[in-house]
Amino acid sequence: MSRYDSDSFDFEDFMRHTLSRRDALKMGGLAAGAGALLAACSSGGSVDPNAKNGGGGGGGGNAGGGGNNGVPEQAATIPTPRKQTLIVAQGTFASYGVYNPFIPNTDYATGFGQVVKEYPFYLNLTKSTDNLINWQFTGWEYNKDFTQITFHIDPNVKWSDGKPMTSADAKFTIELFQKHSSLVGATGNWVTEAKTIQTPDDHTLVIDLTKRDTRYHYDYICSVVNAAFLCVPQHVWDGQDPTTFKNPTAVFTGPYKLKEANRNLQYYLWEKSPDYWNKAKLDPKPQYVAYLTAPAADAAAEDFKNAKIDQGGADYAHAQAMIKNGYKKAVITSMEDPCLRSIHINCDPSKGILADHRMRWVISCLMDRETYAKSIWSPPTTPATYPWPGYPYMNVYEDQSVASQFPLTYNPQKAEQLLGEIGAKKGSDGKYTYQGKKLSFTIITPSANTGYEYLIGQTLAKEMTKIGIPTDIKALTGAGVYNGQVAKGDYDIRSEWGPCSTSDPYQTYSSNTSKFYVPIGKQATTGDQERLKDPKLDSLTAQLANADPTAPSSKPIFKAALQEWYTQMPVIPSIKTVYTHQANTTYWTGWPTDDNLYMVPNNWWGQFMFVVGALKPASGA
Amino acid sequence: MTEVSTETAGAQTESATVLVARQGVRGWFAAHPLLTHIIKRFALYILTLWAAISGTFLFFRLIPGNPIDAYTQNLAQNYVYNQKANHQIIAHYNQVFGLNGNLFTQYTHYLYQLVVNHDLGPSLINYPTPAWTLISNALPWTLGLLLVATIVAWVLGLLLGAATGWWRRNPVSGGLTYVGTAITHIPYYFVALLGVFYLGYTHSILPTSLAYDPGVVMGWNWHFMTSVVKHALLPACSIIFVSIFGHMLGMRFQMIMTLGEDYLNFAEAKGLRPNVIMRKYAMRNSFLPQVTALAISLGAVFNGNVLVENLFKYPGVGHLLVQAVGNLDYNVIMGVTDLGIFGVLTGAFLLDLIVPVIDPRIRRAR
Repeated sequence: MSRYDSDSFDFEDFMRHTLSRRDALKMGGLAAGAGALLAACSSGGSVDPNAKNGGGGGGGGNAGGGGNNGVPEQAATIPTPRKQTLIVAQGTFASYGVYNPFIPNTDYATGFGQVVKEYPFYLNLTKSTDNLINWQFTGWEYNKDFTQITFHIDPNVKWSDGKPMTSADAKFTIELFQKHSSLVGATGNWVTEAKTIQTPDDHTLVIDLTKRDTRYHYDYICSVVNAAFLCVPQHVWDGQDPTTFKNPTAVFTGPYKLKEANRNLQYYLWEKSPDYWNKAKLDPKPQYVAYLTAPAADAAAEDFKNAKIDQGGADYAHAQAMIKNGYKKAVITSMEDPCLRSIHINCDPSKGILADHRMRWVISCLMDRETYAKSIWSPPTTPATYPWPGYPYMNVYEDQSVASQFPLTYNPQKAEQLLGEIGAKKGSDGKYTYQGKKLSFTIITPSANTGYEYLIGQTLAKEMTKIGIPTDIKALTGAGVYNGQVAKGDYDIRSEWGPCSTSDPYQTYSSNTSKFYVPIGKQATTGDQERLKDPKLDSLTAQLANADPTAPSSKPIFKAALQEWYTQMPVIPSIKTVYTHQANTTYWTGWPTDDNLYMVPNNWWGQFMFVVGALKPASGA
Repeated sequence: MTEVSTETAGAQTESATVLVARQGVRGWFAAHPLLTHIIKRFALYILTLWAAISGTFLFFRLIPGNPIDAYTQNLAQNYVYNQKANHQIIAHYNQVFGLNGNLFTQYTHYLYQLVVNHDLGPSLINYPTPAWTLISNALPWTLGLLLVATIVAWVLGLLLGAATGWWRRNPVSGGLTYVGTAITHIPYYFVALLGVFYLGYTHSILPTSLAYDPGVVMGWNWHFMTSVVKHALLPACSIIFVSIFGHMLGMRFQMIMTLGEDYLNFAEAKGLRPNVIMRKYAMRNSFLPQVTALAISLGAVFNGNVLVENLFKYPGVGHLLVQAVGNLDYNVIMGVTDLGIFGVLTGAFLLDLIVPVIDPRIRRAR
């Protein structure tokens, strides 16, 4: 039994806090009072005014934090002093007491993935240059033919239990995954391409690769949410079965360590690590970081307004309304999502007209991206031009000479012209037929019927129906239903998200290469769920795989690949997507803002650690 | 021929023995009517339990998709792209969660694990924690909240119903009946929302969520108890407020039916005081259907009140069930529903045993 494990019920500890006779008398009184109160409640009467501050009597400091800048006193949501605690509201948690990220459903957005785990490198998506942050590792270098990589580990890195992190830990981690193929992430290149691993000293890791790979280091960079490679302490994990190990002490190298995970109160509480190894670069001011389950939207907005939540909770609409009504403590920050919203086409040869790349362009011409961007998406955004997000450092891959040949614009006339070229015929009833069969499609989406992806799909379906191709849309919101159907290729068109490149466009192209192709009916879990088979794209992607993405000599290959990808377009880019992040400045200031977007503000990404490190206590708080 | 004769004789002897044995069993049953009643009821109880568990098993497996697809979808939707599930992972967890083979194989595996090993399997939402551990952690909160709320609502509803039935021509009684009829149609969660808005946020009188205050040490101590009661008030009141009137209307109806019975006229003719007639004749005779309703309500408590628990973030079974359904965690879903089935059927079974004890008419009829 671990003191950290909320599932472990300590009976002796429970009984130590037993009821005295005086307490028993009080309880009797309380029961009588409660009875009266219940009756009062049922007739709409008043209730006990002493119950006003829910801070509770038992220990835990001044959690109420009242009298702060006119903020009304409210029940505390965490047991630590409010002024020393950063409170983040997130979704519903389930896996309290389990800190093994390699098995199903270990919650990662609990602070565990943000202020406890650390990665070798971090990518700051908001900057155009110098956006790679060396953290646990100080750098890497390849040999001449990219078959060997050498990582340098910062000699100062220590685990939160004080032991140093060495190359032996990194080697142990890779080998752990090689031995256990059922661990989540075990199919990553960082595992499968590591042929031999050498540790010439405690701070050097040399990996011989099974093949030339110019992007092997990508898996060591936290770019979106996390990095594939997460070093674990050998002295904790050695001898454990990693497929069932709960890792109750959560020893990692981050600036915070586990204080408490409370299933009943639905929060994770992390305490600042006094001996954090990288204090010189990151010395966060909050003594505690709490992640708690956000209540329903309206209640979360109230909690946000009452400064019971520092980040999250209030959605964009609620925060906007607060600001409009004069609330001055809310900060709304926009951040582009790594994934475009897009329309995915099932390109399998058995799908008839959809297998013809020109039909994908018919659909593209029926997509009114301006409407999607300005009227459907909130906050308003812009149409996509390239099959990757618009992060400043990705500009180097943009090529106007290619993009201008493939305009992603709304043009129904062009769509009808293309249909004619393909050989589709419009009947007297205004409906198109192809090879003797009437055309009709269904768009599926994982988004509920109020979701943006649903609305985009619905608008497209109307446009397709209008020109004579009856199309409807289905929301498959049940758990696993959408994914199951997509993996088996049981769909015509999908409205969802992607591509999601954050390093270079190779990520976009490679997922649609035919090495991942499987026929409809078989599970496509690792790529090419659009079932595209295009030898030219395969060949260009293979060349890109061997090319150094940063070398000028690679530019012509990128250009040719973009041209071919536009031609085939298995995934039709729709709009760039922007999400907002709402923060409260009552207790903590220094949040990323639209004017100073110094770091990714997403509180479920690994990069959030740097936001926590930049926060300062609000004056007067 | 001789051999045939011997065989025939042997068969006759055997059938006679069976007949005697049958008569013996029947005779035993006839001699022990109460035990016979219990055995028959218990057999029916076991059969119904099996049928209900099998039915729910099949019902949940009819939901499209499976937990591992849900898990991989979860990874993708949360942008954990570099941790894509592979075939080995899918195969491994299909094995772990008993999803291999066809539906019949999965069913027999589940039943074997449940009946022989008393094991619901691991939970998906908190893997590798066993599903039963999650349920047993949530159960005390649900029982504490719903058991108390159900009993309080039942007692108050019974008393109100008896009063409104007895004084049925009184305008207050009529008014209460109309109000009750209207209120029983209001969902619990709507009352709960109003409570949260007015008592929680507008007037800050009661806490709006969770089961107790942070920082309070869990144990049999004053602070913890008061905190639990304080946090349970809003959710409990919202349930009680609506349930009271349901029980009231039921009891009122029974009372009015009873008031037309001859034995009440006889009691009145004997000169018994009205309150004695009300308590000992009218109420007692109207009581039985309400006991049945209570037993079934108590059984249903094990399922938790999904909407109210979720609104208040109350860490009970209902809250857990919503999480499990969202992730298609079959083991937890089945555990919670099995518990509900067990609760309702056991309640009905115990009722079958208790009713003859509390109602002499049924005892005599048997």
